[in-house]
Amino acid sequence: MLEVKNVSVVFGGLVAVSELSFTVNAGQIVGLIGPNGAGKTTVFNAILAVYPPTEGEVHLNGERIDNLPTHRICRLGIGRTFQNIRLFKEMTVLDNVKVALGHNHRYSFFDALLRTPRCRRLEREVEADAREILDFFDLGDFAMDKASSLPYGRQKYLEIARAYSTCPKMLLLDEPAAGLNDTETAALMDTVRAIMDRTGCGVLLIEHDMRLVMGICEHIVAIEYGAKISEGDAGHVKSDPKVIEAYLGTQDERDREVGEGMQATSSDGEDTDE
Amino acid sequence: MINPYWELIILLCLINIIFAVSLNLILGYNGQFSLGHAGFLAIGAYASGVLTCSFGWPLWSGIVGAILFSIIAALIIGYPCLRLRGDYLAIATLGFAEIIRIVALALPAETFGGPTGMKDVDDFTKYITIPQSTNGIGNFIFTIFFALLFIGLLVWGIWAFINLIQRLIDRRCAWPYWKWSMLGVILAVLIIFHARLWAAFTKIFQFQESFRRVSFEDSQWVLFALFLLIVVAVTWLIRNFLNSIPGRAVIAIRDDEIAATNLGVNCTWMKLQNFMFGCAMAGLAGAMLAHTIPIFKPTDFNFFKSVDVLLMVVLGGMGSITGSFIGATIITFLLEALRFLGRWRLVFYSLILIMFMIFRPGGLMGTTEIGQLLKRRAETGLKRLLGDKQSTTDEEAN
Repeated sequence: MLEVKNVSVVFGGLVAVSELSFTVNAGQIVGLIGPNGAGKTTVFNAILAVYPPTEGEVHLNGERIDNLPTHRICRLGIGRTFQNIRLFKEMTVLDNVKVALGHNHRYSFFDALLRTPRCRRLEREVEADAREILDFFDLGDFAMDKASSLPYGRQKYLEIARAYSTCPKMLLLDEPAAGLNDTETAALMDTVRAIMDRTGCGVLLIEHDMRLVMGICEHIVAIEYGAKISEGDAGHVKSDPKVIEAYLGTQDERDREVGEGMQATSSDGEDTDE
Repeated sequence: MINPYWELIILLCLINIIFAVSLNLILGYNGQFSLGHAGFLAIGAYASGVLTCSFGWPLWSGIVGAILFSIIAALIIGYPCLRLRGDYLAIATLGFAEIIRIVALALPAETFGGPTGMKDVDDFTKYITIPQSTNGIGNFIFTIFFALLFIGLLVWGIWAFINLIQRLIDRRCAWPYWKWSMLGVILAVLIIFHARLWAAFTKIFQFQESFRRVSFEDSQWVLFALFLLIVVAVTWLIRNFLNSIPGRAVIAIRDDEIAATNLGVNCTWMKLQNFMFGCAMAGLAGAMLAHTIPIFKPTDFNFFKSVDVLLMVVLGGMGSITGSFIGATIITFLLEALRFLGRWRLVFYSLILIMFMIFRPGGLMGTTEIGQLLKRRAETGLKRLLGDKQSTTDEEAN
């Protein structure tokens, strides 16, 4: 169970996240939505202490984690993916997964240098685990390819596979469906469900595809300018006037924009159609 | 016997290989810029030199001491710098190398040699018990080995040169045409000038002499074998390291540090560990240098030495161990071949570096190893062969 309690992140004078609280239970999918620049990714970075929260606390299964360094938080059981894919480009697909598997199989530096039997045994385990994970994500055929040579959709899968390899209790997915078409998105969501069935982890999901969010998330948190404006199930958030206002503007503003031709909104519309 | 001058060059080449590989580990595999790698070479050389001369340690413990000193120095430099992201390490190591050089100048001359340098450091040969068998086989094998190595490198160099030229011309012509015509030109040159080329070749490496009387001096060939053994051992250790969990974490940090942290890699510690490992190897190279060359002085470890090794790594390919081998060999021998240019040598150096940055930014080998390259070649060749067979059987079926 991931608890975010009154977390604020302040950069100089800019309040990126202000007093945000929510909870993600194990086995639950929670959606984090908000207009562009609302601070969604910053929330992820605050949970993983890439930008440590200025105020507030983050708890994972009752343990306070916000004062730990990022890699320790990950080892405690939070896996994440990135909005702009961040694979280890020059490494093979298999090695990408092996890096993430690394902290579960510990051997010393000198074991590694001298290739001791202990090291060999653990390396075999890592290899087997990595192959198994790649097969689970349908990436087995690409195991020895360079990560950067994968097609875009596969790269997304590899990112999720990598996050899964860290044995997360909580999976943070940053816009997993961005750039995918409807069938690909559906397949991706099946994969996420399969991961949850397998590990019983919770999922915190940032997504702009509203149909997807409303369809899959049991609980939705909507934020604007870093502050929570609405929380609840899909129906509640969808009809919340504050959410509608955040996405579409107030009635007054809309009237004004209609008068000015609504160029910005029409171009947005085209994007979503694609 | 190979004359002492070339003996020294070959030993220096092997030392440079270790030195280059140690920098490649830091620069090529971890993406951390160390601009003062000569500083760690100096620490190794002085530590081992002083420990053996003034403290009377045996040579082997002197080398171990040198490695320990380098590791401590790496810890002191690395810990504050590697906690940050970015090129802070480059500046810190640059300053550090200069400090080491100045300190070596300023330390008492009776122990550290001062500006004139350290002389009479124990030689490796003093510690080598010469095996009794003196007749040819071992020497012969060794000669053949080095001959093959040099010929291989020569062919490689020519091939790489053709590739460079090809890229120059490539923009106007389809490249298979140029490949074959250049091959033709090379063949023609070889056929026309073969006598002269062979004469030059044998003169350079004095193989004529060594073929006539196949005899490395015993101590000499033991020394070569010993150095080669150390190189092989270092390569083995580094290869093991890079194929392990910490090694992969190190490479991951080069590709994307933020992603690596978010996947549970302790970036600071991994970078530091890798830096200490690399500097330990540089210290080893320094210690070997101290016991090989007759005299070394602080100016031997100036900024240009750091640039030399940087050039070896960049030329060979950042992120390729065999690339560093090639780079170190080429640069060491080039350095000797260009002696007549005097100070202009550095201009030539810079030109090479610029050419490489323009035409082959990844270095000769890029991030691939020779083994992988050959394997890939073989695989594509095989595929083409099988593919051809496939198509012919298809035709037959039709």
